[in-house]
Amino acid sequence: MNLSGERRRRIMDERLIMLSEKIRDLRGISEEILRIGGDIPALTKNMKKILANIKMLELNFSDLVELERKE
Amino acid sequence: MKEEIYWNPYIETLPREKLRMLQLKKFKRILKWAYDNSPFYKRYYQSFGLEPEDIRTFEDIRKVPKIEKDMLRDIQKREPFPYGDILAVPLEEVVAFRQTSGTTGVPVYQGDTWQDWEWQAECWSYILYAQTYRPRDRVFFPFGYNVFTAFWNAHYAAEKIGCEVIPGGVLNTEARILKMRELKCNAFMATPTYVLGMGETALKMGIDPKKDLFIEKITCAGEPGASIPSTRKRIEEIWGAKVYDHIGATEIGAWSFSCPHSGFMLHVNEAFFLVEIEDVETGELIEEPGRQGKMVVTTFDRIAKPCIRFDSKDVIKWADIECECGRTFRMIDGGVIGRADDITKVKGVLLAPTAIEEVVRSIPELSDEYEVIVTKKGDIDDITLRIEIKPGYEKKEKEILTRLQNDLRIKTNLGYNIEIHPYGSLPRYDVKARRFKDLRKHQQV
Repeated sequence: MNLSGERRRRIMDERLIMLSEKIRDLRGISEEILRIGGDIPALTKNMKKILANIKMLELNFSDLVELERKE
Repeated sequence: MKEEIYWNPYIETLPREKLRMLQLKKFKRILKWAYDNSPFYKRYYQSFGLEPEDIRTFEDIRKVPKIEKDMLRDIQKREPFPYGDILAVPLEEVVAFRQTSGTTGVPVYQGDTWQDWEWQAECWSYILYAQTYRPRDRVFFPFGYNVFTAFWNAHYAAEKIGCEVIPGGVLNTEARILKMRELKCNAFMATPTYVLGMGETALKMGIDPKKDLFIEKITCAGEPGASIPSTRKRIEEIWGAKVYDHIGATEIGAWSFSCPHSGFMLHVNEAFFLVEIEDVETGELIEEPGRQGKMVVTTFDRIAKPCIRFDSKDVIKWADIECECGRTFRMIDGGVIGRADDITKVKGVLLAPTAIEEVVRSIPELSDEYEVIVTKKGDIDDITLRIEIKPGYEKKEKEILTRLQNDLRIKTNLGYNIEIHPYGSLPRYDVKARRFKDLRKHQQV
C-alpha cells in the first residue's frame, strides 16, 4: 500500500472507531428507553424497530472494530 | 462531493485476511446462537458429539454437519407450528412468513423476526447499490406480492436506498407494461423468463420496450438466465437495458450479485454469508477456480431460523479474477450452473439444463421458450427438445434445425429428438420456469 493509501486507511480506521462508539451509545440509550417505558406498545414496538436498525449498524461497522481489537 | 460507489466501503473493500477473520467470528456466533436457542440444532449437533466450542479455526468449520432441505421439511412437522423446533426465537417474535416456491417438493416455511426482515433488506441494499440503484431511480416491481419471498426484500432495499418504488402486484402483464410507460419507470426486477415474456407481450401490444419504454437497468433473480450469455443478450436486445443478476434463496437470503464491471461473474457477499464449494461426488472442498461443485452455505446474521452449512444443491464454481470495482469479495463464475439434483447423466453423459438454454437462445430464429423431456425407451435414455420457431422464419426450418443439432452436440455431447411446436404454444411462466422434465424415475415406478 502506498503512503496515501495507508493514510486513507488510517483515517478510515479512526472514523470506524468513532462510529462504533456512537453506535454503542445509541444502543445504550435505546435499551434505557425500552426499560423506562417497557409496557407501552407505542414505545416498545417502535423501539424494537430502532433496535433492529441499530443491529444493522453493528453488523456493518461495530463488528469490524471488534475484529481489529482481537488482533 | 464524489458519490460513494459502495453501500459500505469498510466491508466491501476489507482485506481478504480480515474478511476471513470476520467470517470465522460470525460463524462461531451463529453456531452458538443456534445451539443455545434452537432445539433442533442442539439435538442435531449433540448427535454428532459437537459443541460450539469445538470450532476454533476456519478449518474446523467443516466438522459442523450439514443440513438439507428435506430435513427442513421434516422439522416443519414438529411444534411450534408451522416452522418446527428449528426456530431459535419465541414464536411471538416472528413477524414475517414467507415460503419457498416448492420447485423441488413441499415448500419450506420461513419465519423471520423484524431484525431478520431488516437484515434481508440490508443484504439487498448491497446488491442494488452495487447495481447503480440510487434515489433518482423509479423502480417497478412486477411480481405477485404473496407468500413467496421473490422480490419483497428488494422492494424494501430499494426504498431504503431512496428509490421511488412502484408495486405492480395484482396487475396483469399488459397493465404492468402500461404502468411502466405511464410512470416512465427506469428499472425493474423479475425472473429472466418473465423479463423476456414481458418484452414479447409489449411487442404484441405494439410497444417497443427499447424505444417506447424508459428502462435503463433490470435486475434478474430466481433462475440462472441473466448469467447465461445468450439469454442475457436477448434481454438486452429486447429492452435496450443493462441486465444484472442476483442469486438468493428463501431459506438463505440474497448472497450474490453482479455489478457493472463483473460481466458474467458474481460477487459473493462474504461479510454476510460463508460459501463453501464441495465436490458433488466426494464432498472434497474445492478452493481452486473453474472446478464445479455444489454450494454449502451459511447465513451469519439471521436469527429466527438459522441456516448453517446448508447443502443447497446449487452447482457453482469459483472465478479467478478480481473485479475492477474494487470489492474484495470472492467471485463465482457464471452464476448457478445447475442443481446437483438436476445435473444428471443422460446416455452416460453429464448434462446441465443451462447448457441447452445457452444453445437455444443463441439462435435468433427460435423463440425464448423450450422444453426438455428425458425418458427411457427400453434401457436407453431418450431426450426430446421442444422448440418454437419465431413467426416469419418457418421457411428456414431445415437450416435452423441443422444448426441447433450441431450446436447441441458440440455443447452437450448428446443427440436430441427435436420437436417443433407452433409459436406461442409452449408453456409461458410468470415465476420460476420448469423446462427440464426428467420422466425416467416415474417410468421405473
